[in-house]
Amino acid sequence: MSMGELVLNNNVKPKKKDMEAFWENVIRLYKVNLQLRKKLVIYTVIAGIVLSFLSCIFWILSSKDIYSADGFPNVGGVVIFIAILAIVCTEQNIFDNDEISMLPGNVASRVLSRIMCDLSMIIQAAICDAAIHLASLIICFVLKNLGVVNIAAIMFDWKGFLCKLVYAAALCVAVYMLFAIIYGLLARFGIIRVLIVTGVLIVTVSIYVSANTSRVKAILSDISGFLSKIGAYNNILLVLAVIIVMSAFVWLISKSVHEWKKEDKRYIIVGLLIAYYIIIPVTLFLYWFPAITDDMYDGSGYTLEKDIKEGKVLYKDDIISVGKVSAAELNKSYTNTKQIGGETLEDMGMSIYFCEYNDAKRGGLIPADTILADGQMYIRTIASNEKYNDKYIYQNFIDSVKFTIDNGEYNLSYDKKIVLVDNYMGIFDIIVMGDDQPYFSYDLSGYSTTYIVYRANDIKDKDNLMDIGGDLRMYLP
Amino acid sequence: MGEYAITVKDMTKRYRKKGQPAIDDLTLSLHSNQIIGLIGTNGSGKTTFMKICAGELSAAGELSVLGGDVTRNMGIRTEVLYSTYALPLENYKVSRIVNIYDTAYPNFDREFADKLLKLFQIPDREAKGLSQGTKSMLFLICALAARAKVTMLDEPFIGIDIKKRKRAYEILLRDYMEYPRTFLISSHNLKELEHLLSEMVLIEDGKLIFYKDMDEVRQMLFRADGANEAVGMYLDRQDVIYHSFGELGSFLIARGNMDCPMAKELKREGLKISNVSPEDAVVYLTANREEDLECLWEN
Repeated sequence: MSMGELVLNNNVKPKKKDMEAFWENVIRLYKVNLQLRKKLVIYTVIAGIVLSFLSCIFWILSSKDIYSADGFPNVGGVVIFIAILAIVCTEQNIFDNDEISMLPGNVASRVLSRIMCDLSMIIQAAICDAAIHLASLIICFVLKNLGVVNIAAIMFDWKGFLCKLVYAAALCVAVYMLFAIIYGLLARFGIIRVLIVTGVLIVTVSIYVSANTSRVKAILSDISGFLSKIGAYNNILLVLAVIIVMSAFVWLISKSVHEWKKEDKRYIIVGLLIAYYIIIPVTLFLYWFPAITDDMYDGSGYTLEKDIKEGKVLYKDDIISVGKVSAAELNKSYTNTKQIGGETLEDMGMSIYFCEYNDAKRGGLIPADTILADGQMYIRTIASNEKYNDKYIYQNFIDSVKFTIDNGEYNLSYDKKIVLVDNYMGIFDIIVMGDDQPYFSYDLSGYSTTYIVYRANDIKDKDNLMDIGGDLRMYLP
Repeated sequence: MGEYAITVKDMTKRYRKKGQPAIDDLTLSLHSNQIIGLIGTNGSGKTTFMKICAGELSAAGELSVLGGDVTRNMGIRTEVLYSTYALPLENYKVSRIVNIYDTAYPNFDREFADKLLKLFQIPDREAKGLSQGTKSMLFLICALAARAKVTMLDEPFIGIDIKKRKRAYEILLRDYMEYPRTFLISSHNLKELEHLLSEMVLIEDGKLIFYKDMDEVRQMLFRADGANEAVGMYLDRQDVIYHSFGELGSFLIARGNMDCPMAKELKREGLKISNVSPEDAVVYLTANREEDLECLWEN
């Protein structure tokens, strides 16, 4: 009778038949793990659904109050967040999986089946999350059609949505892996040793940093400079760096566990790394095929006219006749809380500048050939020209902006409609909302500005004009 | 299946590098399709031996289970079952535990398991809420229904009342007859179990004392009772492994059956010769000598 080596005999390659039996065993243990974690899955999904729909209901209720309405009902990510939390909290036995230690299997099949089970839980959570998000989207469509909430447009991108879904799942895998490694280290070296080594490292680094502050700052500055130089891809490089460090940790842990056979280690390492490396293509895909195109407009007033000509910014011009302008009235309008829903315009996040006609022309805020007649004002509103699926996100906002004078009060108003841009999990997209009156969601801050250009000759009380230096003379109440 | 279900050669297992070995240079071949008792005192290495044979622990030496390497060949591993009275599945409901076994073992007989659960009136509750006897019975049922070619049961009857225990013995024996396979059972209650066993392994301090057919075990030792002087005359014989002197009489235990030359000689000298039961044999072969205990009461 042939005798199998009980001690490690790493030179013997498993037969093909053995490999088949191994994978069959992995599948069996995977099913067992699914059964063991069935309760966890059910609780996670129930908690996620309840929280998501509570969040959705809250959004619907708050949407009726135009001043506290937010963007898209952001229910995305709740289930997947709870799932990863639950998985990480129960992950400490990943390397021994003692609950199934008496069932047929070895270290490799137990660890692999556990990883497969946890990953499938993450995938299930992601699918559940997506379903809830899509349900909220349907609710938004219904609300739009019923007229419950004034929604101008709902911007949704399938490609971006799926990408973000996969990306979120991949990030969960990254978190999962990180904790697997931490638990591995704790299991291998014990919590006391790990804490001591971590403490010593922190103290050493702290002492070094405090003794070499300028040098450390210089190094960090160099790194930061390098990352900004390579632009949008720095995230990928960071992810790659983390992966390399984690891979090294996984390798070290597997090397130090003497009970594991060489084949076992190979399976485990490959399993862990495959799970981790899926982040890379997804990250790249998100960067290469973003739903939102064009960078956010971050030009200054000094280059506005040039930027408009180059198509870098959305804009709308109006010339209105107002007669003699009172600086004091402008000031009053700017701070009049009645018109702006209880908050000052500054609080709303929209930038409003009152500029003198000649200064505005010199500064490139309005076309150089603009001619304003006596008592006329030039109203120029700009917004970012970001596109979502080739549609301007701020078009509705720009179209609806109006500057009027009622009973001597200057009003800046907009339609009452919300533009919803899918912000699933808040990844890479932005929340946009243009709504009632001279009121904006803070999310518009920095992306929209209205320049109200007046003629100095039309100002009745010129003493209130304030010189802010440079080419522009602006009245800033 | 070959002649042997499990073969070990020069097996040694230490939990600590320089510690006492739990299994000490053990060489043994267990026959296929037998119900084998694995007997030994606490800490003698029974559980360690079973876990090694189930591929749960590694050890130095050579091991062959069902003709292959149980640690590497998962096909063999699924034909090997190790079960005990307390398994780390107690947080789950009975039906879930049975499902887990059903998933893990390809030959699991679900119908048989359900019938046994009903027969032994095991409620479908979380296992941790069950009595020790019910838990032991649950895991025994799962182990039997798995129909693994090598089924290792480590103290499977702990906590089970005598009525259910007797019924469990019957079921185990009947199921073995229906589906012949190798059982390796460790138990402290050898007296009850001996009628179930066809063979027996005795280990002590990780070393093999013997591996014999039960009939051989029953014939392995004999007891000779008599007066102190009569018994005392034979204490220097090599085959005598134990003796006891008392006020009412003394006895000795010696190797051999009742028909061996020494037994006949003692009988001729007027000593009363009787068989030593397998349970007593285990005690005499592994127990301290009487004088070793005397130190306990010395001032």
